[in-house]
Amino acid sequence: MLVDYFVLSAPAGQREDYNAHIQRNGVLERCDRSLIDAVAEVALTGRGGAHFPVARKWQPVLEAMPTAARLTVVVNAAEGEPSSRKDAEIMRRNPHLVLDGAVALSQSLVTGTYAAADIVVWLHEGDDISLSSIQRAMTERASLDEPPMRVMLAPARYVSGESTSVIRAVQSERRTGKATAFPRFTPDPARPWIQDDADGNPILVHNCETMARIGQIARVGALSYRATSLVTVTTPGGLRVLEVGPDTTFATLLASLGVVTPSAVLLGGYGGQWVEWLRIADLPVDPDALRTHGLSLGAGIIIPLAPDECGLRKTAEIASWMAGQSAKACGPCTFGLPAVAELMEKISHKAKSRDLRELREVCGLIPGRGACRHPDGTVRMVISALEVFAEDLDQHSHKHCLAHPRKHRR
Amino acid sequence: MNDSTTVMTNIVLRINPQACDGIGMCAHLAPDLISLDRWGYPLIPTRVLDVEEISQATKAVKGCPRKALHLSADQ
Ligand code: SF4
Ligand code: SF4
Repeated sequence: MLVDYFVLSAPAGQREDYNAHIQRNGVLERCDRSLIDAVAEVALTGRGGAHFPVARKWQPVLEAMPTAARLTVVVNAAEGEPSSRKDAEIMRRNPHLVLDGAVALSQSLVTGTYAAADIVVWLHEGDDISLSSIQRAMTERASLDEPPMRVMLAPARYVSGESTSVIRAVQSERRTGKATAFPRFTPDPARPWIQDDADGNPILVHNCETMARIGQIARVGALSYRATSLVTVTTPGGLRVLEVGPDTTFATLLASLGVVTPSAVLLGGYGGQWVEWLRIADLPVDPDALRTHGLSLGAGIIIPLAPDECGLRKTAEIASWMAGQSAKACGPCTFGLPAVAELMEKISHKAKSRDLRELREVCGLIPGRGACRHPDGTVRMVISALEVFAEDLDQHSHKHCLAHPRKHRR
Repeated sequence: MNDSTTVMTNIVLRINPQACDGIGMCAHLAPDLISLDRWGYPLIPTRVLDVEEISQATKAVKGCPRKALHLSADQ
């Protein structure tokens, strides 16, 4: 089955209001700890890109809760990347499912009578359709007995979607009444999603799709969970968002969208990795299956290389965009990414072995040295291009190009 | 176990890359541990430190003008 619905139940272009939502999905019962077991049972992974087991993120929260006064649950719907639109699509079509997830999650994590929960929806400035959809949703359920909910707006830049940015914004808003949205260095990089606010109260961040899935699991239970994937595919006609079943292959997916068979796809978006089409065509569009092949679906972003596009050029353009998105706070990112972008630009014109060597060396200096994962993703994408477009690289070293056979010839 | 047994925790050196100024004081204070990259920013070993390394690392931690370095237990 190609299209399967677990999350995106409202038809494209339509917004499900609260009444339609409960008619289609049923009322959400009050949740308890059994939700945690259900989420662990279906082995739900985070859909912001990292695919970390969701239930494991809750362990430190559960440990902190007995002495905490408050839990802040944040829905991260700040989709920073131009080639991603799945979260916007959920926010526009099924905003109540997202809020259900946040409500269910706070109910199951905050059990004592002392602690309170509050819910924050983190959105990009300028994403007006999502904003009005979620604000209407909050109004529509204002009479329900649920934790207070509000929207916080993030500056529209790529790194605003980093969970560390979200946490920092919530913290600084609490302290100063004003939000700053730069990624914050977290003393424990192994778990950047949870951070105490100034008073030691946990802040828990989940991606918008993850939250919607939690909402559905709370409603249908582990047995009726559907392991679908939400993907954003770049097509000649623009971005297309689809929810597909775990048996859909990349070949079926692209064929259904009328996309011509590419030579490679950029999987997981700008911070993802290039993969040869032949390697991936018959694999299922499913994060777990891909993981067994050493691949990651990331945030569900699929960018097929168009037939007239040169993979190396495209990589250079993306690297330069990513360099421009650096928050310029950490040295290795501030200086490293522009160096990578510049070298990649040179190489996409003429692949001199000196520049290639230099590029690989610079790429080796960057990963793991920033406060957020932005530079690591960029480097991963560039390195994968050097592998996948190795043949093209060879052509480019003679100033030829596989995509434009005549263009570079003099 | 008796009293003379030291319970060693695994200590690692960490850096807050946002606080670091890239001037490189730490590389002078802990030359065997920290070197500087081509942009002048310190390359911090990720491994668990031994006793001697901890004492050098402590000098760097104390001497860092931006308080960008700290020792922490590796989990
Ligand atoms: S790694 Fe780059 S994008 Fe991330 S906080 Fe540091 S400078 Fe900003
Ligand atoms: S001494 Fe501190 S601020 Fe200076 S380079 Fe080393 S870590 Fe960075």
